Amino acid sequence: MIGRPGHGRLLRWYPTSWRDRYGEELLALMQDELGDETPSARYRRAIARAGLRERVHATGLVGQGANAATRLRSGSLLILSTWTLFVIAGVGFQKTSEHFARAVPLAARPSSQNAFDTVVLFAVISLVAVLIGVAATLPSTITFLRLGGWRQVRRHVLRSVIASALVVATVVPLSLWAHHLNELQRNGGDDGYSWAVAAWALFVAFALASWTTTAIAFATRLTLSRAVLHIEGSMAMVVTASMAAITCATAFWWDTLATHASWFLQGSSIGRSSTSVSSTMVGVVSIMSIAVLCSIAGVVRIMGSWRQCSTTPPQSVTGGSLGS
Amino acid sequence: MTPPTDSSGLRRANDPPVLILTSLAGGAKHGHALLKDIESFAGVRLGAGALYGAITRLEERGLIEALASSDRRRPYQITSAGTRALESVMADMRDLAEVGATRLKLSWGAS
Repeated sequence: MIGRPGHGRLLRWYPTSWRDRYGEELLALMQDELGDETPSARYRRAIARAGLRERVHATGLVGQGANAATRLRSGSLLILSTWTLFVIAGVGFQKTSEHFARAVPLAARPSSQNAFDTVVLFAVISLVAVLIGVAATLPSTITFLRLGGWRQVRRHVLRSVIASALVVATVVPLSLWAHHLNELQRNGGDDGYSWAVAAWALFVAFALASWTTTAIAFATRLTLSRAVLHIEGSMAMVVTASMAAITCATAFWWDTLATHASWFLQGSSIGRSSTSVSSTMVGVVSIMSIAVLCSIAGVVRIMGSWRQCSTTPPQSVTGGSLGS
Repeated sequence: MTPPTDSSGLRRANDPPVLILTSLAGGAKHGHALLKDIESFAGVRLGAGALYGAITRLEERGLIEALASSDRRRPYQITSAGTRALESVMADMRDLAEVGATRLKLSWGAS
């Protein structure tokens, strides 16, 4: 790119596809407007705002500028991203609910167990829906890789593999440590172990986020047929419905435990806790609710572009990509 | 973008796409020439980011098109769809202006 280096740096606010199309023109305009002057802070802010607006626009998540297929794909990818966030909250719920049946009085056990079983059932349904979505893109993925697409996604895949290796490498010593602890120590009684589990949970969250980014990097570069896009959209809506059901069941489970065994939520002995407010459950349900709301936005995007959608080239060519 | 205001604080019409289409209705122009022209006829100083954001949307909708150029300063021209869109906007503005002028009893208002 020709122009002052400072001007070129400002273009980084824009997505790659936009820079490829308009970058030189915008640099020429900056040159005409500013000459050899350094851009003022106000000028930089205005360019940054415009660049970020283009990035949001390029995702296909807002506005009607992107074609219907890109909008449908973006809605599905938004739901995939929020599902990852949801899974992280789900891990928190799974940890909190360990051995809950022992703490609940017999009379309240069926309702809490039903709520828990509902969570498990819809978690399986959402996982199956995600796997169907991934399987539907496999032929396009193989074609993409055969045509030399590996170079474009190599960085994402390697980062995800390293993150996963980190999770596997740390879970072994953590499991060995856990075998030397009793139940009370494993559930918050041992500070060192609790911190180690928290660190491991961060590794897991990073690995999940990394694989999601990798999936988005692939998905935005694939050429998908109308049928495949509709499968992706359908599975995304199934995932959203499952997440909504899980959130309701989790809230119901929390309410049952808060009513009949509030001490369990606090990790205290029977009768020792006077509050049913658990910071973990507040966090879990809040994250789940945010994820469901974002997914509903994705569903609206999918449904709005469902009929107009047809086969299109990869999103990275027509409208930029999430990862650019 | 610096929107001009009068003493009452009311803003003039300054929608970047309309300003760009109005400017291109007078002939093809590149970015810097567009900014200068818009400033001269509307008193609106668009920023580079706002200008290219509007150019991107207008080109996506087929209302303007880029002309071939060996220079980095690529000129744009209005398309027939752009002309029709601008005519529609102008008709709306004229209707609004006529209603306002009639109610204010301005002499240049409704015939």
